[in-house]
Amino acid sequence: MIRRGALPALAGPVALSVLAVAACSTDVAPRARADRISTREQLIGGPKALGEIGDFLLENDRIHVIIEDKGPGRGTTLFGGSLLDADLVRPNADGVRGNDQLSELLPTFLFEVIEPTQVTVVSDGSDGGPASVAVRGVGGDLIQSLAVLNTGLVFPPALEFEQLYSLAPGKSYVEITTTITNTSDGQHPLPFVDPPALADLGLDVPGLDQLELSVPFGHLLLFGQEQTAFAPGKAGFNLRFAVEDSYAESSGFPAFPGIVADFLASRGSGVSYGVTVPPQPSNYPSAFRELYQPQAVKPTSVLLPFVYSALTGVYTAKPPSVLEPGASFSYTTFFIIGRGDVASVADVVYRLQSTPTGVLAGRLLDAQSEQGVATSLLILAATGDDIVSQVQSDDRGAFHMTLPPGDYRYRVIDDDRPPAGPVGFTVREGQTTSVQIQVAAPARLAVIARDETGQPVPARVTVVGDFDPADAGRDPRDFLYSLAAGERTRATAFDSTSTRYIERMVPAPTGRVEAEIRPGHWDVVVTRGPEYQAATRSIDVASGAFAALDVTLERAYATDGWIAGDFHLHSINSPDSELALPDRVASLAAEGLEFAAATDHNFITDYGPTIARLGLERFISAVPGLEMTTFEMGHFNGYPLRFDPGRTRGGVFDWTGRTPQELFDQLRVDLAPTEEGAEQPIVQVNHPRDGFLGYFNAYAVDPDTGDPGIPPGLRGVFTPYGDEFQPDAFSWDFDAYELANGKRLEILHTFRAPDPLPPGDYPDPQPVAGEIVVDAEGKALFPGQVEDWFVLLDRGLRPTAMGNSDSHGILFEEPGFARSMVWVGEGKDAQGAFTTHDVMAGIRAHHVIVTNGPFIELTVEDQPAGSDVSGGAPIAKVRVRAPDWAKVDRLRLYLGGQIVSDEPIPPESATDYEVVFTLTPDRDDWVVAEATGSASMFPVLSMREFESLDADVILRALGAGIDLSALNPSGGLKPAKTFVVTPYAITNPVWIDADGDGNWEPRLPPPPARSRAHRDHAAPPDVRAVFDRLKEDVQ
Amino acid sequence: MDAARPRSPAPAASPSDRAPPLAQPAPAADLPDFALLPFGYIRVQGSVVQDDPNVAFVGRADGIELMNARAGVDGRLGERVGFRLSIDGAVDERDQVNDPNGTLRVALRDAFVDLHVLPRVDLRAGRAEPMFDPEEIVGDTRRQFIERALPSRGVRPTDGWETRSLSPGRSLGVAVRSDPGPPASGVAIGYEIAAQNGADEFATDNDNDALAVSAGLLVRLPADGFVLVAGRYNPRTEGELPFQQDETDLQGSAGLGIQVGPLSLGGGLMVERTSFEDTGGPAEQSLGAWGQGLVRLPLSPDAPFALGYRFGYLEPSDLISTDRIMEHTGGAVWQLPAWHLRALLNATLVVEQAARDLSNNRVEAALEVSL
Repeated sequence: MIRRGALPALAGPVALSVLAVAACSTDVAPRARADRISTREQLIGGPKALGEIGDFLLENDRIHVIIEDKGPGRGTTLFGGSLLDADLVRPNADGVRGNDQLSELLPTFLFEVIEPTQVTVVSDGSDGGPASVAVRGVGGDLIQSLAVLNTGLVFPPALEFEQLYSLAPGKSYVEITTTITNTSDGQHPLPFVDPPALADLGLDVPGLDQLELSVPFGHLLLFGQEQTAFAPGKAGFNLRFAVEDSYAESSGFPAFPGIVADFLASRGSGVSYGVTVPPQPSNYPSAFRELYQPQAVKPTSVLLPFVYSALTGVYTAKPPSVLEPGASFSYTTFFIIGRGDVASVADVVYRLQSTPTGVLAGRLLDAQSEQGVATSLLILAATGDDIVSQVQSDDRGAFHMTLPPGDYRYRVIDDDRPPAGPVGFTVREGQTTSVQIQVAAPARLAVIARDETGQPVPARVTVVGDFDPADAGRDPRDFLYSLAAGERTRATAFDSTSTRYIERMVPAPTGRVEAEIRPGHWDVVVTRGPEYQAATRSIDVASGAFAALDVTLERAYATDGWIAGDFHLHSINSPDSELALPDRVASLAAEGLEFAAATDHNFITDYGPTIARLGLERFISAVPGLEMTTFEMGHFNGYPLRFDPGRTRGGVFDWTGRTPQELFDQLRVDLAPTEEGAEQPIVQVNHPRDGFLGYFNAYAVDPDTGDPGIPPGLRGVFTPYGDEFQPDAFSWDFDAYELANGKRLEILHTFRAPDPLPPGDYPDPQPVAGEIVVDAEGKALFPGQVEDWFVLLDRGLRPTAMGNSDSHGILFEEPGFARSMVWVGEGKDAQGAFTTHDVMAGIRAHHVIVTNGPFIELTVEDQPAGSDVSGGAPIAKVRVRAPDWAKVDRLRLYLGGQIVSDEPIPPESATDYEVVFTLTPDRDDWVVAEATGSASMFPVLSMREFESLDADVILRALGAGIDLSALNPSGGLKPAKTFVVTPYAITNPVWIDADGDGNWEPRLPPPPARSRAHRDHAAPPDVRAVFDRLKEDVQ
Repeated sequence: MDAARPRSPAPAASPSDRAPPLAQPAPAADLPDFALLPFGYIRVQGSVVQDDPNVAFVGRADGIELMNARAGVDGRLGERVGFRLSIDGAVDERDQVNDPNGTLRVALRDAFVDLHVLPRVDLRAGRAEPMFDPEEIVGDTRRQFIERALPSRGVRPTDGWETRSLSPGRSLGVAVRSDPGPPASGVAIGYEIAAQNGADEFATDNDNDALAVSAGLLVRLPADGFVLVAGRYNPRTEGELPFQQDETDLQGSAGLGIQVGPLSLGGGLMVERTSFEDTGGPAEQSLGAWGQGLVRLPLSPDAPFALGYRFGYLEPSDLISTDRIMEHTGGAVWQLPAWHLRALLNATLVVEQAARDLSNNRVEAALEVSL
């Protein structure tokens, strides 16, 4: 019992305690903080995280971002200073378990970027205000090929650049203020020169002097591949094609073409990003409002002029026409971090733009299980096709978003459930509109795949359906799925007479898989790479029902002594891939691959731990590797490499400003495994003729001689100017040559004009039907990788021809197509029986078959491909075997690059054909066999249905109104980039010492080691020198 | 994360068997300073569920299940302090909804201290069940059917579309209460006013700043009879940061169990109204009810045998018009008190609404040994 007298004595402490508790439970104001990262615990982590100690951290109670220190770019671009990592603040974040999915954000001034000289904390936030980090620097060319435009329009040498990142407490966006300052004593016009002056720089383009130019400023946003970009309006999630379609409506300069949007956003798993701007007098789209008609332009609009791979241009500001001496121009951009959907980004946009809003909220439930459904709800305008926003429901099916008052419709977008909606609803200002949506349950498919012994084996399950025959021949994007709505792409047979399409493609790494599919009638096709026949079963499944299949696969051909390898593969560690390592490894095993080199873009990856975790050691092994990815020089693989788990990118390397030989040396020496007896890495040139990304194209390698050069005429102006790009920097010092890259059949062989020739006006020389399309100098305009390789062989070089998939995903880029079959030794083609050394030795010895299905074996005098034989009339034997889905119908034999036999294969021998030739070389030579088929490999493989974006398309759009035909000397005649994928296989050579003197003499003179003579072309204009003179004039 | 509310059906390991009520005043001379009373039981079940041809997870897990492997101890310290600590080794953990295979794990069941502060006023603190679910009044080893009634148990994924129960389950909290236990004659009144976290059964913390509050009135009758009326208010927070949703449950229950000669009758009702503060929309009403009767057959006084029938009804949501479930269960229970053993046999006819109809009738047999 408490004594009465004690109460007053207790009252004081009790009251104090109550006050103390009350004080503790009172919410305190959030804080923002900027700091230089000194421990790994400060890093964000996540699939695309590249932050390192020494970078700069901005964080508050909601979000955190990392700004890269100065120095070489660690992301995709050349320089530091980018906003590199960004995520929500998460309770369990510890520097590793974050969810950064941003590749990079950086400012751009036309195509000029900042080369930072200083990155500093401007305000650490300790005063309770915003924390900020500034990046200051000079201009740098993101793409040297476009330096003439940067210099002519921006003239960076007279400018100073600053990018100020500020984060206020309690905000889920970073405010970015970008400033340029005229550091010269004279006026700085923008554009810097008049169009006629560009002719002095080599831009001799008809109509150029009539142009009115503009200089858009903004940002380059590289979403990670996990993110899907979104722009409200007709584009929705179909940004890439919508931007390309907008080019056709371009009014030309001074307004750059593209989509005008209220904001740019994305969606992803657990995090999303967005960009918007405040109303500013300098708003770029507003400055050219009339030219963007019929697109609606607001003072807060942004221009999206291009989407190239993972790179999205966001141009927002038009600088003043003249910058006075010492004057500055600034523009503001908001970078928003959402929770995985567009809606959470749009919520912030509406607040920033003071747009009145109401709330749409509710729950999505599975109609059968009544469990919450995590899926996507698309918000459409009340009428028409405009997409307003997209919201993601959480695991409980709950969602919440703000919208401006008005009438809308919603649609449930779930790839594995029957469609639901559209359903109309109204949002009123300040009120909540609530909906409970029931969505039909998916069907389920369970498959067990077994090999001929009855054991479950890794396999791939492809679910194939038929669409309405009335839609045959139509673009599937118009009826089969909606990219704008964010639906999954369904691959079709790319055949106007077929209604077949691929609904889903699912790896079954352990031989067992369960997957959700839409209800319906399906053919389930089970495959395990080219060494097995495809097995097809039909099922009918209703909503909520399931079907189970037990399938035994039949062996198509035996490959004793050979292993199936893929030496060019990407995963989530590449900015343009979203495939997590377990999914990547599972997909490899499912395709019957037995050996893999992980080759992410500028990231050393090791599949080994993942293989072990998935229990797939019996089926596949792998080595760490890297695709050294330059911006303009080409892409080069190295494998096996030393994997350093303590490094953000698995190792230390740098490609900026390096010559090819320096890159090769890094791969071969600096990154070589250090353990005793380890393999020296193989250096492989990837897709050498792949447009802008091809090594041979970058150096304008002569298709007849193999010598590097400089393109003539206007193409030479759009050529990188750095010393590392000069022809004498070219190097032939590579071990392997990626002859077949994925399904890129169009770059295999030198392009020949179609027969008959399509009607049209062609520049001279006039193309001849069926003949190689050449330029004015008689050089092939579109050289083939096979013919280039033949020239290398003729010059005595012996790079091993490889076939790789370059797969970044699964559908459309099935791994192992193409692949390299590597000889590892009799009886050694089982995991544990062969070693990495055996594989590398097989590659170095050219014991490799390149294939996307058929298995072609060549022996000369019973010696396999890769061998040297001697004698004047050797006997060559060729055997081609194939699964039923990759039948061959033609066999070619090349001797010294010349076709010595080109014969059809009888249909009855389409899966097993053997032929013997007697060769009669008149000199030392080499022989190669090549087999092809003409039947589609659908549905085992998806087709080349969509054209990869060509940089020429962007260039043409930017140059609307002027004549850029000089950049396109074929007059539009070029290899088709969409086609039906057909069987292909080619051997490596057998070298024949015809005179038997023990010395193989090449047909052409060997190239010098690491250097080359120039082609006899006029020297390209020295852009820098010209502008140095201009600068003097200005001053 | 669905942390705040027992969305899955109550675990197979049902609540502890009722030990004698704690902290009963007793003559000081008879009460040792410190006493421990261990208890425990093992319940093993064999079940056969019809295979539904269209649903992968229903009916394909026929076999033996461990329902309970319970061990616990009741303690008493002097006249005013008592406690209970019990664990169960048969807690069924599922990775996700409608997962046909779970993992057995050992988990804490009861862990509370009772402080007898006044006559008919105990203060309880720890992890305990609130006085709410009529089915929880009867312990596992005295229940006449193998499983609790449908509204209290929900639907397990191997038996049908997984459906949460309306029983709140255990939670961390404090309560002012009194449970007099079964009287020898007449009636005895018990009650409870509890403030609990109201989060998931195994949550270590509350899901928000608000406690769940419940109140129950219990009338104990002779021979394990009872009448219970209770209400509960639970403001919950669901979802993961940064998108969390506030929802509020308002629940009510009533139930009884009586013994009339050889007849044992019982039934109950649980209702719930859930409002959604963040996602809005109409409130969701849920309703569950059951009734049962058993007759003890005069076969052998050393081995009592009873036959019975139970009807269960569960309407999980009035917002969804197709989710009503009904169960008709016929049961037999045979008891061997000398061996501390019971054998039970149940056959259940399950009736769902047409849109969610399943072939999922089942037969279950259980063997139980208790200490």
